[in-house]
Amino acid sequence: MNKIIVARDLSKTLGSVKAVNSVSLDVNEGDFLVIQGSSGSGKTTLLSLLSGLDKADAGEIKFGSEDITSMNEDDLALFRRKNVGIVFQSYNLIPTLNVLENIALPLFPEGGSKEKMFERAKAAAESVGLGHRLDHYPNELSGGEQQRVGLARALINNPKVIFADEPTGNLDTETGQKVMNLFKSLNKEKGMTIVMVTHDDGLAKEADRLIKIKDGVVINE
Amino acid sequence: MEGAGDISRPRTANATSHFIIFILNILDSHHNIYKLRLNPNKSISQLTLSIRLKDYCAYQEPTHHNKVTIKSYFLQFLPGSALRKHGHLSKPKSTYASMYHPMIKWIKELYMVNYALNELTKRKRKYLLNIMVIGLVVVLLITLNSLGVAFKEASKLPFENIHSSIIIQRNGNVPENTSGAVTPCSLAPIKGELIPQIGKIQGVKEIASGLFLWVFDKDSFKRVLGVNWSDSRGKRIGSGLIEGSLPQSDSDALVEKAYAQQHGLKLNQTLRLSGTDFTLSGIVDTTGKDILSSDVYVNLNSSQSLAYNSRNLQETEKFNKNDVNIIFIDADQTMVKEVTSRLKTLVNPPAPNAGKTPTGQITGAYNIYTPESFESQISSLFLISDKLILVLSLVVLVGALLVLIKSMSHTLLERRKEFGIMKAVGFRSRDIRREITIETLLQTIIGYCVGVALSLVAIFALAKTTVSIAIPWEMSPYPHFHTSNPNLIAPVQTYLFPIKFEAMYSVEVLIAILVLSLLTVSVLARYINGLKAMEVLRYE
Repeated sequence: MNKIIVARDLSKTLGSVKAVNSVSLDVNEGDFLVIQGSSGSGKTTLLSLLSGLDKADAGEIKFGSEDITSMNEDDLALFRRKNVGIVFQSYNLIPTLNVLENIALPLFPEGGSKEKMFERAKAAAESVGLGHRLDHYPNELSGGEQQRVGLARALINNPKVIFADEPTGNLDTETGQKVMNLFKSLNKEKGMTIVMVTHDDGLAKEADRLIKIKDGVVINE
Repeated sequence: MEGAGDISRPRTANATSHFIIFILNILDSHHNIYKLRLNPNKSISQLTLSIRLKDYCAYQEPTHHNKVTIKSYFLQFLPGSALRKHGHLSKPKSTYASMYHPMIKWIKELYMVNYALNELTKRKRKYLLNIMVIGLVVVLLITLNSLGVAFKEASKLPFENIHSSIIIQRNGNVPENTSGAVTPCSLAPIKGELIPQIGKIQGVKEIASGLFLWVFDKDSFKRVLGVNWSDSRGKRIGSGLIEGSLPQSDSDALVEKAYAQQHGLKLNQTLRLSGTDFTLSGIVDTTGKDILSSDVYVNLNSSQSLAYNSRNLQETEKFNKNDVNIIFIDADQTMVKEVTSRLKTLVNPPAPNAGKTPTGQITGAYNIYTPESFESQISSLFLISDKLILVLSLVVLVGALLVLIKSMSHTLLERRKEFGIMKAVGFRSRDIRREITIETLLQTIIGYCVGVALSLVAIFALAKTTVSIAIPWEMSPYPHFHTSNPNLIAPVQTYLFPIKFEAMYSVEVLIAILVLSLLTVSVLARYINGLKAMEVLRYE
């Protein structure tokens, strides 16, 4: 199996807390990897390092052939745009943009034909079952629908890896399961690599690979 | 080399190709064509361009070098380019420079404008405040400036009708007691012999003279102006005739409309001036026509007789029958300076032991007023209002700067989370900066347009108002010590306020306000871009 992410000895200190302490892990192409840990275990920090949202204090991350630990902020932004999709617990949609525009947001800085941009966004919306709500605004959507917009936005640039930070954390069990099923089908049917962070044991069971983290250290693999 | 066969006699690179390259380099601000090389062995159409295709979307911005000729570079932008049709361009249109042409790239970026417009319309209330602040600043700056200019213009209005280029007056003493006909101290008698001498000066086109008197009778005060009805001054006054006729004899007099109304004077009535009876032959209205307006107008001869017979006046200064006290000289436009300097040598300097007039001027000294001297005299009066407007403008600008920065930062910093999201999904600092710059520019331009529209309304309304202008006393035909009527001390003339929209200034305001908001935005962008995506997302 191809290794898509190779992380070695990652450390990150937040304030006085070592949120991530010398963590090494590999992500293989097609993995459905779940990083599980209790609140404050450093799992979200680890995710932010792997996805290029934040920079590690020490250690190295190779994403494909690229060393993302040596990139500056702008390079990282471009890296994220090209290679990863991120789904957040609190959806992080822009309230003044409708569903279609929110999904197309990562395409805006590239410019290009508006029609093509929205064509892609529409396709992404349809792939998560939101084809009928394109012109709605985030505050008109349910939590589950908002999270599906978040997922469609993450998919828009055909990323190599989808990172998800407690994607069902704000949803009830049933809606959460539906969103989870979407992630699973993406992984199984399209072979999308997914790295998900959760504290939920139920979700952890869905994983192909499970990594448990406590106090910034991996405790099993 | 494509199309090489078309050219039978290759021209070598010459001035034309240098010029083409020069122009291309100017047009190519994006440095898509970053190297233009001249190959002296090739024809112009085969000039080799090294084109750097800036891969705008790609992560690593790879640099491709593709060699195409100038001709093919431009031809491919044409719809259904012949080059493409004939297979001269092997690659499809999208991979070639057309995609990266600055113009096309610019249009591609238009979506950012859409996004900014979206922001503006969805958060109307917030941006409305910014727009209103900008609008207010523009209104205040433009209106204040127009006011300043208008006040200056207004101050000149009373002198617009002085057609003579040069006016000669002479300082004199105030009579001991005020009875009978006297001359005001700014209009002391001038020897009549001076007039033919002035006439000999080269550049003098016409001379008009008058004798202006204050006549203190037992129960009334009158200003009496003696003029020659056939010269330019007399004609001007005569043109204001609204009733009756011009004086036919030395015992006829005209009376100013306002004065006639005030004192209930009618045509053919008898008016007694310092013991001499005059018949009112006509009524004139000189409002707005002359600086030197009077209550009563008589023949120059008659006023000279009044002055000659006034013991009070003769005691102050010897008055001959042909003396006057104001001379208007119409000089050749190009020779005003020369005529003025000749006049200065012509008029006698005051006696070395001369005293001073009540206003501190040297008795007997001649005053030669030219258009420039009027202007400087007036502008010194308005200097204060000028400075006031400058200070006000500065206060407005500084206040506006603070309010603008505050309201702009408020709207932008409220969106920290949004910018965090944008960063998270791959906006670079420059993408965010461009986004907020476009938003700010839109706000600024909308605010500016609102401001200009409001200024036009304000200026239009102000232009309908009237302005009263006090004439400096030394140019005033009223006695400064005559206090029975306070209005007479500072004579006031009323004009339509000459306020105008100053187009050039409004352009300056636009530039200033653009610079201001761009500065603000660049500081804010720096701050926003200093925030890390992750930090912003945690901030909730």
